[in-house]
Amino acid sequence: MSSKKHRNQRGKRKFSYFIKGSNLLLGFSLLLFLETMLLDYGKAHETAERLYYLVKAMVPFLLIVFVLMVLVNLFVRTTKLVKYMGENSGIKGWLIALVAGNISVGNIYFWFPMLKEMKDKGVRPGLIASFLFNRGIKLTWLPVMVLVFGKKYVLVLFVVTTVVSILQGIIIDLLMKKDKPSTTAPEIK
Amino acid sequence: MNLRKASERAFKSLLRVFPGLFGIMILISLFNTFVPANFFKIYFHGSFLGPLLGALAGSVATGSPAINYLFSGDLIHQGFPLLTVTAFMLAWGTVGIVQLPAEMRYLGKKFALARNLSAFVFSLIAAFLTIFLLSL
Repeated sequence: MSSKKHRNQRGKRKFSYFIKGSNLLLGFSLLLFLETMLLDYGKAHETAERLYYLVKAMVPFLLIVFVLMVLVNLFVRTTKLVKYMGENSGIKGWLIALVAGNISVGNIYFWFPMLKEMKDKGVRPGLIASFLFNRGIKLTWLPVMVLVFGKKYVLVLFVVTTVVSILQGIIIDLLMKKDKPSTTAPEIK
Repeated sequence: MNLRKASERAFKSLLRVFPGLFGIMILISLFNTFVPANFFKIYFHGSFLGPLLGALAGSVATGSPAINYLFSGDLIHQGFPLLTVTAFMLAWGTVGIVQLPAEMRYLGKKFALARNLSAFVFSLIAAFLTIFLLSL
């Protein structure tokens, strides 16, 4: 009975794996492509050609992404790094928020519990906001961005995003300061 | 972590992104076959609403950075102005409307709302600044 339940659970897990967003996107695209093939073979052939050139252009950049990911995995522990953004971390805290945001990997849902723990321990909300903003530009995926937009654009965007994320952090700190509970004991009347 | 483990982990990360990445590449190829390049140029050229709409669309979009960058690149090919595309791409990466309930639960309602709203505004500011600096 329990093994049947276990099998059912495993089946559900497998099913939920296959219906996740990226697989759905691939399935939907393949269906569209098949439909095009059935309705207009010439257009499907043209699409396949375009896809071939796109994949061909992408492969070397994906190899660079792979190397960057290996290097980050080898030398940086983002989860440990983030823990150094203490309450009085000063400029070091900002630097860690910027770098950790850029190199952090994984789904955002994985980071929320950890960020909550840090916020509870007294890490400034501005640093957390800055960390989350910097997740918008991923260092490991920059080669793909360079392929699409070019070096100059990526460099300017990277610098602007870094500066703007600090500004956002400062504003969030100011906004959340009003909410910070007083550390002094309440007056007893 | 040793080199083998680090490589395995990186390979798995890429493998996880692959279905979405290949899916978006098929969609881009299909789109470019059926829709002529610069098709949207006439609709968005010089429009002030463009960046705002771009940032709004980016705020509700989710997916890996690779999909974000490839998709945004194709928007430029279709004739969307760089300013609109930059606002879209930045909002995609920094604002999370879909993740907002989870963010509110873990980090507090006020923080999550303030962060997302400011991220939206700063995505627009960063987009304007980037395009301004590139034009110098």
